[in-house]
Amino acid sequence: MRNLGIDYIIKAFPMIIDGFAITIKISIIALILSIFLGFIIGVIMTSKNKLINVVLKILLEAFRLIHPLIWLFVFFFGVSYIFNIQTDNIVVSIVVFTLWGTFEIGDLVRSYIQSLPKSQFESSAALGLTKTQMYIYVLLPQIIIRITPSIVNLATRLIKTTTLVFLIGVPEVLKVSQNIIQVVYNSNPNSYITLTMYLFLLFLYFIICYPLSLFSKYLEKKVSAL
Amino acid sequence: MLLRVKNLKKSFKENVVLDGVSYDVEKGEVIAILGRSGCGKSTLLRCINGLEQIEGGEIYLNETLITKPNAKYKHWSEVRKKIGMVFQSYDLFPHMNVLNNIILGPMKVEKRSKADATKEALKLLERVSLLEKKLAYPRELSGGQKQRVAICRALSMNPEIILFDEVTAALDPEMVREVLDVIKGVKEQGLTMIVVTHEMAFAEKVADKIIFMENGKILEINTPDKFFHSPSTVEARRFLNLSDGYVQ
Repeated sequence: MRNLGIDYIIKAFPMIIDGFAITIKISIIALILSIFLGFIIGVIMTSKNKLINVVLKILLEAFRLIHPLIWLFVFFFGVSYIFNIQTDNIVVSIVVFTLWGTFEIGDLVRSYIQSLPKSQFESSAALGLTKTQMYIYVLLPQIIIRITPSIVNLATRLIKTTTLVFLIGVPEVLKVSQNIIQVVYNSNPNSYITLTMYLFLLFLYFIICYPLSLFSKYLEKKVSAL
Repeated sequence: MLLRVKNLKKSFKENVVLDGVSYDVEKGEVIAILGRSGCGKSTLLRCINGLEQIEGGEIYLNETLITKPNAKYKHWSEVRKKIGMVFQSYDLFPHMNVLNNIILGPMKVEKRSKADATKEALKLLERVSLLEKKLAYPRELSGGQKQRVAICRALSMNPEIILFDEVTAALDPEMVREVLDVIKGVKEQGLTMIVVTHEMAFAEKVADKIIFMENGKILEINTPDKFFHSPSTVEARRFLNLSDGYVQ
């Protein structure tokens, strides 16, 4: 039986999980910040001010069209160059993914606000609600209910894409796995640990992302009842 | 004089929608505005609570000028505390149940306590026979029920004047009756109302004054009795003849 390296994986399990924890940590922090900032940006994007809209639109496209990987490098090396400091790769990762998530959510929020029937604005206004009250009590709750499936979707994509941070040296799960594979190859060149390891990673990602996807479908059903 | 409208002018792009409209509303009066579709009656209503900006003329509420050029939203939200409005498409807040729809205004705008606002709301719901639906969501209600809740919502703010914008136009005939009964009830409480409607029989029974409009102008102001049986203008006669030969 060719060596599948399962025993190595079991031994290295804590390290792999540590790596995965970093991936999840970066994703969760970026997601929470993105939701908070995204809503703010989204509401600002509905303003009639042309200048604000143009600037935000450019930023939005910049973070959407250009692969997060490139932003990771630009921020990591750029900040270090400009400010002459050693950049923390985890902080850079969180910043880049927060910016990405913020503009994605911002655009979603903007489009949901604009898709709300004008009558909701009018009947709130007719009641004497201030603009802030209108947003807090009438408009945003309706948007939050509708937007949640898209946010869960974004969370899944975020978790998957965060792996890229290994390219700026963050010891996330993919990098850890490759290190382990390397070590095993040094002593056992015939091992099939590569296959086993990646199957294991597939399994790890699946048990995180699949429940999210089911949750998203459940939310979509509930939302459509509104 | 509760409301005074003077020489109102409003255009949408090239279309003149209001062409020098003037009238007065006394406290406790019920005014029905009648006219063909597109004659400007809804726009007239929407100018009173600032949903449309006017281009000329003035509106006075309790002798205070409420229409300011380039008025900010804040100015109107103060005014709107005194002016209630019920829309053709009810526009209840779908994410809140009936009770919360009604108490939102009093709680957040008038800063009343939840207990206070709820007590009022339940009284209103009872008057329109919808008490058992207090925890239902708008999607579970019929059109007529939604409209009755919308009326409660407007009443909960204790406005000085309520505007009704074709509130039965989107309802099935069976539901029209229940809503009109509620409006009759509101009149019996002595509230000042301006009702834009197509329901001629209702207008005749409920209104103290009929305002007839055409092409953005007021052509005739009369008592219901005189208007429906012997209108003074040719256009009014033509209009009434067109509505199923109502004039005998």
